Amino acid sequence: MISIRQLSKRFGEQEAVRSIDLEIPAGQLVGLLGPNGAGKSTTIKMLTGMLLPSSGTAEVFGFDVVRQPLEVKQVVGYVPESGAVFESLTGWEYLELVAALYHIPDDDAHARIRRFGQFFELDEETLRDKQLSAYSKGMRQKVVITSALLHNPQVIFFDEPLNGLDANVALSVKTLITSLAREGKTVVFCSHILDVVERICQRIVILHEGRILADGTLAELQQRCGEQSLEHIFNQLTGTRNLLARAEEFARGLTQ
Amino acid sequence: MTTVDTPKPRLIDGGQLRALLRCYWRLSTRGKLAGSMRRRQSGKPRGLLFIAAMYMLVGLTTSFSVFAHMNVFTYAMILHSMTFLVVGMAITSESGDILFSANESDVLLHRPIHSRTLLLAKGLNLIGLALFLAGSLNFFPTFFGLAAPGAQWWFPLTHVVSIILLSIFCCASVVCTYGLIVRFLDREKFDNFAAWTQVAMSFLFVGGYQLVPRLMQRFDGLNLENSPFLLPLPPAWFAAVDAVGTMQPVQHSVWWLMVIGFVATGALTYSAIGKLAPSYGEALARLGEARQRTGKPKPASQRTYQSRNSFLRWWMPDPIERASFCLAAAYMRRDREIKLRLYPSLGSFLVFPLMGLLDRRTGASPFIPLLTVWMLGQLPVIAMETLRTSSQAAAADIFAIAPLESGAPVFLGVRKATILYLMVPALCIATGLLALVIHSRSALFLALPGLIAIPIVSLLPACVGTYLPLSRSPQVGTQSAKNTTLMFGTMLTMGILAGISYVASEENFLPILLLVETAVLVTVYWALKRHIQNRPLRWD
Repeated sequence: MISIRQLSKRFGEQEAVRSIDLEIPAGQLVGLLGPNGAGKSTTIKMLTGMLLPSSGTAEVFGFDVVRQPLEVKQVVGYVPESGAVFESLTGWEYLELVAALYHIPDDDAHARIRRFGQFFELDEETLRDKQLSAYSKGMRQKVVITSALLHNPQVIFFDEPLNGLDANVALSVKTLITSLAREGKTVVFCSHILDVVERICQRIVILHEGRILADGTLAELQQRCGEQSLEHIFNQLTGTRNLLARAEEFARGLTQ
Repeated sequence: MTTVDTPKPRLIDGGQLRALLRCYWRLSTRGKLAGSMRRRQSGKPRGLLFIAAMYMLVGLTTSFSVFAHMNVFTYAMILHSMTFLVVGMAITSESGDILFSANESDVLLHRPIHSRTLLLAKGLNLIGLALFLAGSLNFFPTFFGLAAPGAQWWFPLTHVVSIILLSIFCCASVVCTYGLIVRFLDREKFDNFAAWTQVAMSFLFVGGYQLVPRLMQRFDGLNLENSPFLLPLPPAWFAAVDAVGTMQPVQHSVWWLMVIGFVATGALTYSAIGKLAPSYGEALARLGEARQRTGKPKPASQRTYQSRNSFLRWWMPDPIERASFCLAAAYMRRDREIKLRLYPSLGSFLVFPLMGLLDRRTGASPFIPLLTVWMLGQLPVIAMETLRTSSQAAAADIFAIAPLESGAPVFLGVRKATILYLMVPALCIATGLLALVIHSRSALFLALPGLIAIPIVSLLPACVGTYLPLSRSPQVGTQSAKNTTLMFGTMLTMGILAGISYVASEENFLPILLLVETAVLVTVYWALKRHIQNRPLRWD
């Protein structure tokens, strides 16, 4: 479903992604982890056809991201970390726009918007009357997630999708994500909330400085690192040593 | 839910184009242009109606020039010069936000839209905006044109066509300019280059507007045989459409001007959409990327750093004021959004002294220094109002969190930054130009009453409410009622001062005026500053 070979992205002198290889079959839910600046978002942007790779190839649902970017975009859904929307539109207008961009007929689009609205408990009156600038962060994130799933994509990229969501909605979204994978969708889930990744992802890929450091199931990573929690595995692979001692020493310094 | 059967991607997709146009129209009418004058959620774009009314009023005053017995070509030339200025400036300042909105990449770039469809939608949105402004401005002049000697009854129809052409020409020029810049420059360079290109474009539009009447005066009318200078002037090309359409007979040369207009508009439009579109999507993605500094930044030498800090400490002993100064200075230097909004407006401030170079009677004319100071007086207010708005408005919460008793030091820091980085250089350039242009010392003295009032006028933004930099979201708009009142207030104050200075000079009591004004200004300055400092910080 997603096939990446020697994919690299360079910004000037800085190499954000360095020759990564990855195969993700249909129906798999993959957690893509890494510290800030590891290259996660850049990788996703290349896979969604937003950025051109500097070298290497990538195919999504059989379409080449460089030669067939529009075909790729038709089959992917993307929830960006920024949660960006057109704030001067109402939620309804924004979702109508997204539906039109995927050629969803009006009646069908309205039915889909209502269905998502019910799932996310977004009242239709609010959706129709209030501009997105007046929404709370959580409500806006619900609209962003709806806009990514409205066209029923085959491959979905979630970049920090739980940002701003309350505990109940976050639980619904997590359940939705696992259900989507069970329905045969390929899902790439980026998050810094490691216990969520640990619980819902079938496979975990850890990026660091543009390279893949680890790739496998949680059990495989536990065996490899000799640690039980994903948090400790992640810290062992990418973090600073003696983190706890350093934090305690720093806090002492602050209070003195 | 069934998977959507999307049609094969097309270069220009009608359905997507319609949806995008609807979206951009809503964004334009609810966003910056309309601003908060539109009553939220009422569905009535009151801000737009207000702007239309203002432009119609300006157009009405220009309409009366038809009674100066000018022929259709000359009358149309005046109208097109004015429209060229207004539309050009508006499109130049709006195009940065419309064409290269940094937030848009995460909203649209992962959708299956061909860059040609996207650019066409944005281009049509710009044309819509241009037509709205041009239409308002030309509403009355279109009908007054019937009074021009030689005009036929169908003049309004011809003028509508020529105005549409001019609007398309302005938009295509701006899109092409950006298309070329973005094709060859990376993000870092693009930000700076685009800002300065906008300055150049606004200078060109204002200059073009000022140039036409001066050239008309110099060459005693508009006749291509005697005036080959008309050939490179776009307003002349579109005025020729009016002339060819309604005047009988017309000079052969006027036909050529019209042909140039059609060819230039067609070529620019084709280049913008046909040739530059493919690289547009890629450029948008590049601009949406995080900034990547290539190479090491040049470190300021220790001595420069220390001397700058000592100067700032001496000038602004209050650390809050100093921090606010540094914040404003950094945004004026580095922030793409601020640069694109602020710098284009600077071009217009120096046009008047420059135009004096073309004016045969300048040596004795007192109006050039008066107009220059009148324009310069508005510079700090415009700069500070620009610095009030940012898409990073949420970051201004820092002023709410910090234990500040008053917003005064924050405001005064921003004010000093605009004075040091904008006002001082602008004054130096203007003085240099005026010294070149004006030979009469008494004419230069005329500028003094306005000049000494600028520090007082620059306090006005903090008098009409709490001033906090970068605290207003662009959605609230730059055309808010408060903002417009402030601008008009500044223009009016500086205008009245210019009038009084002129009368004082004519009646030989300028020195007395200067003495009285200084005394009044010192009192007003003290009172205003006290008012600003005593007002508690209220968070809107």
